[in-house]
Amino acid sequence: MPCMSIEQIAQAIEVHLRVNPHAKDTAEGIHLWWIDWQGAPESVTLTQAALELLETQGIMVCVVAGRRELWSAAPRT
Amino acid sequence: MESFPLSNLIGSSTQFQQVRKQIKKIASVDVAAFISGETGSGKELVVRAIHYLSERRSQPFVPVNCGALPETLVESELFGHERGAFTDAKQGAIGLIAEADGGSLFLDEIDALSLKAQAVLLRFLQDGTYRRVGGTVTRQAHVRVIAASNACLEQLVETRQFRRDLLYRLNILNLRLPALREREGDAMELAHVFLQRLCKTYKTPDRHFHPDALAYVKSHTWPGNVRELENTIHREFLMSDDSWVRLGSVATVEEPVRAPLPETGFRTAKTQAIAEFEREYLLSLLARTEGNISSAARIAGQDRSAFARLVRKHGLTKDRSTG
Repeated sequence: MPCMSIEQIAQAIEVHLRVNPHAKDTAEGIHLWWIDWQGAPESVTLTQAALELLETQGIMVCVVAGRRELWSAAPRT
Repeated sequence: MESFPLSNLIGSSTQFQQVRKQIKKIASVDVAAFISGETGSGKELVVRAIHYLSERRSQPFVPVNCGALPETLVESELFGHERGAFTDAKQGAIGLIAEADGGSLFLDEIDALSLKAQAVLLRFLQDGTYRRVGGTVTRQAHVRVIAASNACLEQLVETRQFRRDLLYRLNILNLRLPALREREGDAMELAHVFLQRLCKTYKTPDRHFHPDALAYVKSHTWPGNVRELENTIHREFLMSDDSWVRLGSVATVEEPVRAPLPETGFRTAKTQAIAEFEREYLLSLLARTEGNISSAARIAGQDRSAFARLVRKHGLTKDRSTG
């Protein structure tokens, strides 16, 4: 049962965004479809933490739309 | 993307294999689609699979629960609004259609849309153009709309609660998700996957299903479908004091709220009822947030430290937000 750290999950999300810069989804969607877990996935709370980490680093932004949080790449300045 | 997406769709039954085939087919063509299925049967999971297997996979996926949007705001939520369009519109908003531009917009519980909102949506589906509420500029968005409902839309059409033309427009392709009870053997397969995930999440690899639990998984009809199965296993996983996860008659039985005995004083009975409510509420919330107290406190609208005190009071201390 290999475990991924929050930093490793954040890195996987970043890789996905590099290839798909227009991608956008909720934390649940990102958890299931952007990260190749190579086995049983980690908890979605770790993906949420990874997204928040990327937000503090200015790599991702979160908007609330239709009462759901949507995550996407931060616009380049 | 082909290597792992379908691994999120668990189930080997012939009924579910058929669903997988249909997902691939629907993903291969870029038109509106309609997904029907009982509550908890996994409609959002299936629609996401359609998006991520389609040509739009690198674009946004925007899920919306139409039933959760206040009727008065549906139009502005979908199409956006200009600043000052209505009393609370202190800032402009681009709306869900614009958020989903280039990708897929998933409209769950489409039957909850008012007839007025249905008319506006129909107009957008016809030519891909729309106006923000309070705006004069006609805008265009290239969005694939996939709708879902657990209601029978044909029936709603007959009773004039749903527009026939909108149904035709959405129903170009359709997929009916089978209920879990119709998917032979899938409940057992899903149960093992959920338990495996929980063992990983809570770092307790030594938990197993009690033999009676497996019999229960097989025999129960799961009216709440996959969601009910997942939540039940999660709750009993958290409640287990040993290495066994019990379900059914040997599990934690949810007692209905009992009328207080006349000999119990009002204050005592009230305190007991509140304690029971608190415990049930916390258990269900912690199951939803996978034991994360910060998230649970946010959802409950409570201060984290006060919420954590309450969790400790009920002996439910398995916080995942700090570990």
